[in-house]
Amino acid sequence: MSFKKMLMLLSVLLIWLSLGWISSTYILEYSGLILVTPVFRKLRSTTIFVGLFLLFLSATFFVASRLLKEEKRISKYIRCRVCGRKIPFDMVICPYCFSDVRERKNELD
Amino acid sequence: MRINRSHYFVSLLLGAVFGIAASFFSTSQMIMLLPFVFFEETQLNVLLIAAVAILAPFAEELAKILPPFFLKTQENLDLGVVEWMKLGVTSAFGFSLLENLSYFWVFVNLFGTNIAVWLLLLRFLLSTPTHLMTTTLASYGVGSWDNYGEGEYFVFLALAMVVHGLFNLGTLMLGF
Repeated sequence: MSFKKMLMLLSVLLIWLSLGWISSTYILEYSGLILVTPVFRKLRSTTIFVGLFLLFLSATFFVASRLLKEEKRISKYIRCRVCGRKIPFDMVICPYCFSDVRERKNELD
Repeated sequence: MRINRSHYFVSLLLGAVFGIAASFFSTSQMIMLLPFVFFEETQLNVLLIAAVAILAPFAEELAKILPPFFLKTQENLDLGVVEWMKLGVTSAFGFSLLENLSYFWVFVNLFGTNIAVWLLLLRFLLSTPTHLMTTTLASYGVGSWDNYGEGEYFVFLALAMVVHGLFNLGTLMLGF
């Protein structure tokens, strides 16, 4: 589930970023900073292309997040119910508080 | 312990604090490289590219992922991969916020308030989503490693650094 959520989040952020790339030269123009980057008009087509590419990437991530089936991953750790620390799954006794964790493992199984 | 609103707030603030530490690191590394540069234009460019595309992403990606790690160890938080991403993105937002405000201050002094506001907007549209995006990748990797104990997930941290470096290089090349 986390991988799909990551793709969804990346998709939203890519839209945000693409808006930035597309509007960047316009913002520079309105701000009056043409002197700093005198060739920026030539760059407008490049930044718009980058923005459109990012939009395409965003759409791809969105579709992928909808279509992908995520395989269930099993954690190699369990949490001790007594001290709350994370311990390897194959432990029988918590190495921190020495409490018996077999019951917890049976629950998870 | 489960995460609550205060943890997000702490992550936001720590993101900003660790951001300052990352900028100190990048600057110090640049200063250390200076004796090897003989101030020819090409060498200065190489130094600038090395700093912007290699040093800064390395330091910043590590700095942005530290707050969730710090919270997890200090507060004994029970963080799943999604929680790692949420805290990481919050930390990156704090980082970006402070970075933008510090640049805003520089722009105000250089160009005046009117232009500085436009440039602040530009940074919010370009720099902030990049920071959030790369930290999403990095925190997914570190979160997966933390939860499932598989070191191969660190490739996402490396990927985040590469994406960050490419973005920095791209903006540098385009003259932003």
